[in-house]
Amino acid sequence: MAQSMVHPVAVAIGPVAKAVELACRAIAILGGALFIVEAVMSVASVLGRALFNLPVPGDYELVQMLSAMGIAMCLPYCQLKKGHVFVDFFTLWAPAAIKRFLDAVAALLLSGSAFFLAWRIWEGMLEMREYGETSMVIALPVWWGYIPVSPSFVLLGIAALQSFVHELAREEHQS
Amino acid sequence: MTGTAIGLTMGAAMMAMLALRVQIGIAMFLTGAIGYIWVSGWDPLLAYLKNAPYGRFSLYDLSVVPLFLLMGQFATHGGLSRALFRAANAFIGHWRGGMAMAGIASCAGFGAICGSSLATAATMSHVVLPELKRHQYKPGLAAGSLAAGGTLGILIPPSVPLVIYAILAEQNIAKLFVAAFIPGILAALGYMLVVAIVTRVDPAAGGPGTPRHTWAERLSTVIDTWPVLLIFVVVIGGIYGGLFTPTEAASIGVLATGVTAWKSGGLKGQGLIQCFYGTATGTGMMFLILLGADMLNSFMAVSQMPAEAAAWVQGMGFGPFTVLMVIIIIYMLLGCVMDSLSMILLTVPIFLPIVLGLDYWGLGLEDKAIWFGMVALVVMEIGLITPPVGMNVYIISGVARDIPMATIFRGVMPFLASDLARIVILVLFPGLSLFLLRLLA
Amino acid sequence: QEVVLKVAHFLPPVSPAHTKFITPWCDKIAAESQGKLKCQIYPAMQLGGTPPQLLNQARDGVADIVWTLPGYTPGRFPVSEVFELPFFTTTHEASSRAMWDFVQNNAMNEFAGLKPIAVWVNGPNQLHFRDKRVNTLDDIKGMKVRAPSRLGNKLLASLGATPVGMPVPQMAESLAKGVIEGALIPWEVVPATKTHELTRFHAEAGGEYAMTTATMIFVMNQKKYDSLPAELKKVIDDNSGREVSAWVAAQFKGADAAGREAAVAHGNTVYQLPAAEMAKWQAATRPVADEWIREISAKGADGKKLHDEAAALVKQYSK
Ligand code: NA
Ligand code: NA
Repeated sequence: MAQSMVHPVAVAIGPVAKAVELACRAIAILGGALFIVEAVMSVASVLGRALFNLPVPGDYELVQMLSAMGIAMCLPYCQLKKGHVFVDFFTLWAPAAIKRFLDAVAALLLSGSAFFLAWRIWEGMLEMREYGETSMVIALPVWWGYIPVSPSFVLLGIAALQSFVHELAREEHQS
Repeated sequence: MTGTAIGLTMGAAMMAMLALRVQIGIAMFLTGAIGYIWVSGWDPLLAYLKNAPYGRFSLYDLSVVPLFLLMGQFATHGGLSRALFRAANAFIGHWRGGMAMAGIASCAGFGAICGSSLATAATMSHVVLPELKRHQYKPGLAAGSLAAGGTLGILIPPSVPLVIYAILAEQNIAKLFVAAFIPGILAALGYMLVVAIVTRVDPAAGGPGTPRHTWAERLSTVIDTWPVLLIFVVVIGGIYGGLFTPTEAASIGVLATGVTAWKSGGLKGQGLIQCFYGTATGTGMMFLILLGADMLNSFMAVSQMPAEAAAWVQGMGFGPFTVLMVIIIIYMLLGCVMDSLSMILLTVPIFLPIVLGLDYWGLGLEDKAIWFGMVALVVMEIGLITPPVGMNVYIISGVARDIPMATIFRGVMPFLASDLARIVILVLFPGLSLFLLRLLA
Repeated sequence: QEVVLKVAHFLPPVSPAHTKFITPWCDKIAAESQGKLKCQIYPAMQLGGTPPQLLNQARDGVADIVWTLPGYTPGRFPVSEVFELPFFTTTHEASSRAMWDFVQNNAMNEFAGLKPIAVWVNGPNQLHFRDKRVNTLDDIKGMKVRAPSRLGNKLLASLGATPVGMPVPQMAESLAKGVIEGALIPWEVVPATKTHELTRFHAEAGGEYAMTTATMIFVMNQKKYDSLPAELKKVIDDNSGREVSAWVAAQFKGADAAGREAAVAHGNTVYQLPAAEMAKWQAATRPVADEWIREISAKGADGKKLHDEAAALVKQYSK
């Protein structure tokens, strides 16, 4: 398998690319911050439970919601860093141009899958809102957790699209 | 077409996509989605995907994964890696090959607070490789010992692959962590033994030993590693003691390592943001694979292929150890070219029912699942350092750009031999995996 | 032609729900349709997803029929939820007949896109304690107890306990280590979660009413039903309804009895809280019902009327 450590990372060129990169970074930082919030809340709940018989109400469902949001927000940055693993064993022999072509196709497939998922998750969110489904203890609307998920997949799709363009551009550049 | 025929066709399509450099998570997702349409139809797929990704991401048991990764990031930025190496070196640095052994020991120490092998390899090689170079260790031994030592990140609990295995096998995470402890220590000792043998056979490989440290010096270096010990005891002890869930334990670990990193100045400037970036890369990588595997497994369940495969194996009447050997060989082959996470996700739903259906040493179901988990973990770990593609070797080669990849792989070989010996031992003596659990029960 | 129905649920194939209720039901429709209706059962979430998603799987046609708990999707069955109020239901069969009638009259909009085959309440929930015999309201004050549902959570809080909402797999571990001191669950769940090995005292509510219970539903995708030829629709219809609901509940009663026996066989103390004490508990938990009425009324329905109608149905069938 391979990851960014072995392959040069796409360098953002132009204002659009810069904006995409900035968005991926910002959303990853936000995701990390959510994990910290989650950790602080969990520790507060453990302490409250042990010392005052008073856990944070709905602690488990808060963890579920926060981590779902945070995890989704990690996906675009990982693509920016070409961190989504693939198998390069079978193409070690191939000339660079073929590898770049295959990588461009792979980026396109990733992009298409991400947009498709974004569309489905968006539908899922609207439906959850319509149904008014909530969490058990503190009745948090479930659809709140969906809010950043669909946009994260859109951004993942855009980042992958950018990789696609970049692989093709490199090919022309070098041929 | 029968379910198995559809399953095999789609399996071939997935292999083709993997060979053509499609991301593993996406290859699994597309295979699963198309297969699902084939068996169930387009509308069910559209409906299924509305809630499946959120359902996967919001699974309580998985929430521990990003937290373990963040904890590893904080530990790295907190300089704990350096403290661990100094302490280990103070004790055994004067032995022949002692500094490489100290590198392995400090990998084990770092593994006790880090759930990922890549993070352990990257962190420890930054600290240890320059020192080994300065003391004239041969590049093969230096890089090989750290590539192998890095795998202690998953062999010693906490361990992200074990969390995933626990969920797939419906086993208690705490019990798996406890079970992994002795095999993990065995791994560390085995690697140190390899260094001893290599430096005995080729004294030039090890460079001159450092002067012996006084007990006062040793004591002072050990004191610097107290956060590691504290965090390990609180996290693993707390999970096993049932004081809190793995997620809560990891949360405590995040805050404890975070405070350590902050106090040591590791979070200044871009520090904190770098920790977030590192966590995002690891989390994004794993969850894209988990998402794809979820889709693939749903398709496989509808196609009834795993059940038919298990029935077929049982019908053939192979002996239990023949089956286990075949499974281990399949894992080794897959491990050459795939990453360990996708490997477990792909195979455990098929292999575990087969193993559970056979008799091994008269073990009960739960014991068997835990024992098989240990064996599977070691085989997956081996995949990280076997040629032609070994993630840990890539990491080391990224840190030590002057050492050719071939040299690292050659340096890894003796460590691989100790891995193989350990598998045989773990298979033959299930007590090694189950002893601590019985002691604590 | 032969129609295969995909039936999904979340428990393993060895569970009583699978063997005692779903499989027999499937056998029955197969026999009555001369083999034209068949089930392909997917236990243990084999169609993918998590238990809360079962409801959508049936609604969207990912599965044709599912067994699930409305409590997994709080907010989706606000009116049917009335049967989970404290001290509201009596025996399995009577309460389930009442629930069927009540849902047919008042809550069918909660089943949009779905055809209910059976709706029922499972057994009364009991309080299972680790190391303390609870006899009075004072005894339970401040104890950490796992709550089974949204309303179960409020019930425990109104009794003065500290409700802890945790997933079932976590419950056993937390009980074993004393992180929680008790759990509010039905007997049926006891053997699978090993609760009888982790607790020593089991308090049943004396008197007529259960402390609380969980509602359950067995529902079919409406479009799938509509697509069936008339003769097969009739087979489904013949195997749906009030009496089928009571029958399913009776199957759960058998599993409840087995759970209770396991606790007794383990040498635990199984005891009844006297009816007089229960009257005090009922009074203490009255605000939970009041709050439910307010919530429903806020949505534009007559909460009081719905509450009283459901209570009257339970009383009527319990005679
Ligand atoms: Na570890
Ligand atoms: Na490998």
